[in-house]
Amino acid sequence: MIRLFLKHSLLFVLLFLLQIVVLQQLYFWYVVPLVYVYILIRWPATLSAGWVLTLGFLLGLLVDINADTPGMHAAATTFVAFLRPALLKGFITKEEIETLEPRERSMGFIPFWKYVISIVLLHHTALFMLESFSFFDPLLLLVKIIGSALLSLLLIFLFERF
Amino acid sequence: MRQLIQFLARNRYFFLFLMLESLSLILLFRFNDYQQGVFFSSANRINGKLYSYREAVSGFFALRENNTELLRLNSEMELRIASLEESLRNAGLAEKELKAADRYEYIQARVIKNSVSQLRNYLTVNVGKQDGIAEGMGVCNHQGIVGVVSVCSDHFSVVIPVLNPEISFSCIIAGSNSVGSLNWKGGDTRFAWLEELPDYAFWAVGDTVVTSGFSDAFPRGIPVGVIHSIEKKSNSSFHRSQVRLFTSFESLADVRVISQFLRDERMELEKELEQ
Repeated sequence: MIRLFLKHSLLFVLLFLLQIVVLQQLYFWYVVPLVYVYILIRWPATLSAGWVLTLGFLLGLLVDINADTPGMHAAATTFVAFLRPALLKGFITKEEIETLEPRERSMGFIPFWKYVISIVLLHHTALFMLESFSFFDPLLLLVKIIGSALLSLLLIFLFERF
Repeated sequence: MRQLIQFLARNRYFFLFLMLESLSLILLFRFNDYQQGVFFSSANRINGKLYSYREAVSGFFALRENNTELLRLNSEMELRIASLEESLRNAGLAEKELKAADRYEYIQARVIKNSVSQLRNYLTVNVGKQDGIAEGMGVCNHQGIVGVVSVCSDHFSVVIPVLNPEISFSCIIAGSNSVGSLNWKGGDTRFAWLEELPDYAFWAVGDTVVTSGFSDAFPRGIPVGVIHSIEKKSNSSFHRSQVRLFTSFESLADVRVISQFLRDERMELEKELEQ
């Protein structure tokens, strides 16, 4: 139990630093990989839904404070944190849920990636829609969502191979 | 009452979600006004420190490159000063004309945090109130205009760059007196729009755009960019044109904040008028 807690705390710190110190500074043609959602993806299925929501909100808020975007990441992360239990339940069978930490190995390739892709797409769509709220350019929005999602997914794919 | 409590307890997960989500949205829509963003901004102490450390590391690796650039600029400046002094002497200008340039002072600063990929971009610099920075001062670098100081703490300041649709700059086309307003509309970081140019203005693709000096942030003549294309609206007496910016915002490192000696006096005078 303590080992699991330490492992996830370490993952939290490392991915968070990677996000704000490295990735947020990169710039490939309007597109930013947002791998910090991987923190939320990895939380054990046994973590209660209330905790997932609260921690998700705090994770988004921390990113916000560092990116000078009050509330934007928090809103998007809270949104996927709310949908996460339903998505998880949808893609795995009942018996597995008890102990499962969502990973490619434990869930199987296709269910895991269905789960990851839905979370990443929902999160990025919510985030970039909020960003362009007062300022709507549908083509740019689409480029940002698809491009960023592809980069985030690529990075998550690499993390899964670790 | 009991039913209400039962209802809330049954749906507590959903209510927690509603609460957190509305909290985020309140933050988003209340704090986005940049003056209110002090709490969140990277001008606060902890983040400022973190970003200074990171800048110290990345700045070290760019040292050689920066040095060459500075040397090149320095020699260019020396040449320009020499030729300017020469022509001033030839024209027989008195001390008085030279004084006008002394009304401004540059405060050197380093960008410790920069963003270009967002819709509303901000950057943080490592100087603050104690270095003489005040809100509303202009910021430029050796290439051209950068932005305006939005909030400052004792040691750090947040600058709203051109790459933020919430701000626009009063500009003129060099050599003419046609005033327009420069605004960025998201997307490509190399281009911004110059709007509200009057119909009768003389200008063409390739003309240089500089600051007008009408706001207190910038003196007249700070380079902004070159007119890239012109968009004519048939039913309006105003035009707009796309401007290719001189400043490359992706690689900002050294900038200067422009401090005007007579700024307070000017602002007081303008305030009097408003009252």
